[in-house]
Amino acid sequence: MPNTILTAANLKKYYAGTKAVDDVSIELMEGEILAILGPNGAGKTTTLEMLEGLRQPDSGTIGFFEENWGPSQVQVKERIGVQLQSSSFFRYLNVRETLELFRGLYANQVPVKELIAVMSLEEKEKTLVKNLSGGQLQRLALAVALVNDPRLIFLDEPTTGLDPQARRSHWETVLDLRKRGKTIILTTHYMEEAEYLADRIIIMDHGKIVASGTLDELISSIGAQNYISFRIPGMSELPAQLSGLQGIEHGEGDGFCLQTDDVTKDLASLFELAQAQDFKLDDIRVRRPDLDDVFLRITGHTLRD
Amino acid sequence: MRFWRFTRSFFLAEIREFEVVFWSIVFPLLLYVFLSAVLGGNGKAGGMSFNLGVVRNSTSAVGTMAISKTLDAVTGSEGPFVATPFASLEEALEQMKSGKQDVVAELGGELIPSSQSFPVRLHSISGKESSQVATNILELVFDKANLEVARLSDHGFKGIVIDTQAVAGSASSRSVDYKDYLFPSVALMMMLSVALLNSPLSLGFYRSSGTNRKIFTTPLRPLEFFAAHLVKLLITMLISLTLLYAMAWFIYGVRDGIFGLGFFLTLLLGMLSLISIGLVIAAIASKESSVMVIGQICYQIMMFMGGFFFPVMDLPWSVKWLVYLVPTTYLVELLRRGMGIQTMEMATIWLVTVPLAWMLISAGVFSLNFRKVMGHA
Repeated sequence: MPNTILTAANLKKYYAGTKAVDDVSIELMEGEILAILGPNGAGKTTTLEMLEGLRQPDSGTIGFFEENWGPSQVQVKERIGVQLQSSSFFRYLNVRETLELFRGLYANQVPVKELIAVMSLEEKEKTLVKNLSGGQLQRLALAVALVNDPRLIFLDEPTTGLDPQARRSHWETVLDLRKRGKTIILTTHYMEEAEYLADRIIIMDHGKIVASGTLDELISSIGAQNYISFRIPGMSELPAQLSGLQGIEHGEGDGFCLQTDDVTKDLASLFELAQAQDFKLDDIRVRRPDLDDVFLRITGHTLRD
Repeated sequence: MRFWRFTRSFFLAEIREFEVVFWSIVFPLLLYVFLSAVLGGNGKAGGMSFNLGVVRNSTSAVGTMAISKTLDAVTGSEGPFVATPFASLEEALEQMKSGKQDVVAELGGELIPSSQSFPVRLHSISGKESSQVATNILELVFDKANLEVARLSDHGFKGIVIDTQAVAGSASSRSVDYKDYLFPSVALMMMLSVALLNSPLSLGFYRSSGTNRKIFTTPLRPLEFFAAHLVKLLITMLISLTLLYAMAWFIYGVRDGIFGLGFFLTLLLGMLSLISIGLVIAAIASKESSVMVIGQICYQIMMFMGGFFFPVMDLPWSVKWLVYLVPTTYLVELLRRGMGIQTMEMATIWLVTVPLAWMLISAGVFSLNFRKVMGHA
């Protein structure tokens, strides 16, 4: 049974009377990756910054490593690593100097050479921060978060702004960190990121936790096993002949979606109906429900809205 | 150890920025060279004129007309002298010793008894360049007047007899070379640039870019970050001042008083009071653009109203109140007095008190806004 590494209870944060975070409670187990997923403005970053000690919650408690987060901040900070949403370093220091600087602030120090190797920054060792690309900056930011060999790592939207290749590479690094026993809590608004990386997912909207659990738990919570999506060219409304199918919904334009627990049976029914009624089916796809479906079902809007 | 390592990197990151080096170090030095070249050529602050104290000892009619004509010629609108009459020699010499007169001409009297010559004694300050130059000019002028007298043969008048006498000057009467006059100004300009522009700009940038926030996720405390910022500013100021000293010493031969304890203490007072004001700018301006505007306005006012380059005590009251308000007026005068130059009538205690008051009030205002400036919730 893994240890609890962080406990946050009933966190609340207000900005000018508006609730940014509303009664959020989180428990993080050692060695897991926990993703906080939500659209922009959901309160993910504020929640994370309260956990990192950058913001004081208006109410609620946070406990780390069996210690209260507050008076003994320095001891806690020695054991955590943080990658902020927009990490800005000293522009006129190079990669090595930046790592040396941050490393020097901790009692426990990972050799700079090792950090540079882990983050594949060898070729950029002498490059000034101001001359790094977005992906290289993110790698540096993650390297800086590791300078003290932390037990717990906070990653705030770690791949925002990266191209798909750089994002994939970043994901692999994060998974590698988990293999090395690190506990990671990250925020993201990319559901693919949460799906790919996280052991557990917390979904936030308007400052509240609206769902949490493993990916399978979240998906099964909405009751659907699969979706059959298809188009009927020229048909912008659900034809009466199809309305008898249970779980069918009209999507965008001439697109439709059939929620099903038995793909074979419902697909056969759909073909039969189409043949009998002389509909032309196009772009037929069968897919598993994803976090967007979960989010849509719970909040009534998609993550991308 | 952690603090010093951080300060070192912090300083390194800043000193590599072209803007910091240019505005804090290069520009003031260039200005020193430029202004010294343009205005320092005559060896006199404030223009091509000498102050001439005139003491008339006798009513002897002999040669009076020749003397009067000669003095009129050199003290007129085209002449290089500004004459001030004195009732007694003692008073005139006292004024000369305090630096307000460059030379005193004592006219007539029983200097050369029973003679048909008109005696003139020129009193100068030993070791004061402007005094020596003024005396030499007057000697040449009177020699020329004698040639004219000889040509006209005025009722047996044999001419003007010139006698020169050098007296020792007080500390404040030493030669006022424009390069000396400028030295405290350039030193303060360097401090102003670091304190009012670099400091609030860098604090604003690190706050808005999130560098502060990243630092505060580490064990380094906000107070340590601030202390490192202060040390970084002081080091930058010390480097720029060292270069200024080297330039002043080796190129311009500025020597007097600049290595005195009082001078160093005034520099320290200047650094601390100006840094405090810069921190207030960082506290009241939330954006970098606002910092730039407020910083520049304060910089320009403190520079021009502080009397860095020209005398400011004769300005109209509509702007003169600024002269009394800004701390640089007092700092530059205090530094100049350390070099033996006095440009305004004010007790030394005020020259110390006003910058000190600025420092304490500014530090108080900043400490109330510390968390805001540091970007630490």
